[in-house]
Amino acid sequence: MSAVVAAPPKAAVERSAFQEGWATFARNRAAVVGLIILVLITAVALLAPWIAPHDPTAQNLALRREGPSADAWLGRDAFGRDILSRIMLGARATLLAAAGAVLLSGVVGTVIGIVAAYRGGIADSLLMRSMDLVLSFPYFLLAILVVAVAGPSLRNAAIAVGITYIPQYARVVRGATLEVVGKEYVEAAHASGLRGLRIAIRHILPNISAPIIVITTVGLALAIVSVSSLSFLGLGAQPPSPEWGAMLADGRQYVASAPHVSIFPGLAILATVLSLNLVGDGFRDTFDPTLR
Amino acid sequence: MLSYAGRRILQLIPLLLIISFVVFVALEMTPGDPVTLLLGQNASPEAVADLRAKLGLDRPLVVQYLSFVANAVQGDLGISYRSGREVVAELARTAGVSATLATTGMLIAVLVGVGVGILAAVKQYSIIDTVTRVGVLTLVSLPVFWLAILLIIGFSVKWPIFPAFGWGTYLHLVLPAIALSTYPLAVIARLTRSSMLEVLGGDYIRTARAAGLPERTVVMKYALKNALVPVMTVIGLQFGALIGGAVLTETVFGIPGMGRLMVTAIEGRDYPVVRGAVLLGTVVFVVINLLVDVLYKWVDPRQRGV
Repeated sequence: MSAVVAAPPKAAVERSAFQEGWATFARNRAAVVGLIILVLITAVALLAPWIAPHDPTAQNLALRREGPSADAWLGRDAFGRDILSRIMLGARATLLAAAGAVLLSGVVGTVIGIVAAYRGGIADSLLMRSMDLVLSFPYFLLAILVVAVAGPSLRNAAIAVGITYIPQYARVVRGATLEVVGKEYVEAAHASGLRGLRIAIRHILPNISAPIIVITTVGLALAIVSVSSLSFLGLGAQPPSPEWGAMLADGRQYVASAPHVSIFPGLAILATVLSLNLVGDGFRDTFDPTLR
Repeated sequence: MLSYAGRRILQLIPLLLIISFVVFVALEMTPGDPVTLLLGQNASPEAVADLRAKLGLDRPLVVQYLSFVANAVQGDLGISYRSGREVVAELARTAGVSATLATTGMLIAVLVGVGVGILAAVKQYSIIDTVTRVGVLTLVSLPVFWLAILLIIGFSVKWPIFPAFGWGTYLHLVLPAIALSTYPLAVIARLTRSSMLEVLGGDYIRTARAAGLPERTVVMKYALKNALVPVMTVIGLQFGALIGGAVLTETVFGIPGMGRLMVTAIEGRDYPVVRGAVLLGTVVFVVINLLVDVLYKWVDPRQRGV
């Protein structure tokens, strides 16, 4: 009975909690700046084919490695392709691969975490020991191993990065679920005869979303670095597709004569990852009451 | 204490067996036949069958794995498909280079990271603190390989102080070690700062100050000792990032280390070398973290009963 009494009107609580959270987030000015940059970068990625000033694959060997100019603001690469347009299109590749990686680790890791916490016992120890096993590899080495097995491509790089990040989700979700499972509303749901999956989706997941949001933001930042690192090594995106890490790999041989070819794609990675980290810090402050 | 260390070392054996099994099976699943790689497309079927038998590739997977382990324990990790040399020899040739690079990088990260972290905590809300926090966020967001390229552009091309490429002198070590150190440096600085802030708020620090001890003694002698305990664990974990970073740094600077060896081996489908390098890297990482755990118990008496 206590659960019924304790349940306040749902909509009112959610809105005020959201507003309160937003107020906390908005007080962190760096996080807001990060969010704005992130929205801009995402918009560029989405609209890239329409707003890119040039065809990102159009070569112009006469203008190869030309520095920044009025026509090509960020200069041209070794094949005379417009770097700005390639960065814009590359945002799609890099962001999509990173998002895919985080989606993979998020879904698998969350399921593992909830099952481990909810079932307990042997399932818990088996699942968490296998997560420990994944963590005992240096993560980038593991990613390289996966790509070595699956073959180099952007998709496989995303999968590899996704696999390495599963334990992070599993651990955080397991911890958060353990805290929630003992609460009255979960017990009430259990008592009213709901089955495991329904309880997990309707009652556990919404209540552990805060830590999930935080590690997703940080995970995206890490995934962007890892995916572009793999591409840089030639284990991710393959030429001539524009991807930030791959573009850097192309520019590497011309550091002396045409440094702009490697500077700008790296700047794009830095801006994206930095804004994600800023937003992640903001979320952490928002969701972790102990830090307020 | 000793029994704890002994227990941890014993736990290492099954872990290493599982790790090696994962790595072994993973690379068995790769497309492409090593024998064709070794002999070329036009080899006669007899020669292929001959070499398969010689390499033991005609045996069941489990048997291959067991003999791999038996050989590995005796320091035999197979033969490189490309160079024909022993994998162990290839690793020995390159591991020293990587170890030098990684330890130098970690040394910079620990010294600078801890120093900056202390300073930021002691001078909380000062300009040093703000710069540290912004710096930390920037450094953790910086892709190692890009930073490496920037360092080359800056200090090899624009101001030619350090060589951009190669290995051999101390000068060759500077830029790669700096590039490699940044990520762990930032993480260590951030943790030292927060850990220091927490410790500085403790009762015994107030007592020490109330007793009239100079601030320097309070910070360096009483606070730092306790603040560094959690930092230690992170140093162990950061070796993981360092091993990955070394692969990238070695690639950019053309350093003949294990990371470079591994990447070329992947490109050339030289799986025994890939397997050996991944295994060695992981074993080093696992052992370092075991040492850190044992040290952690030793340094922090509160942990000993657990």
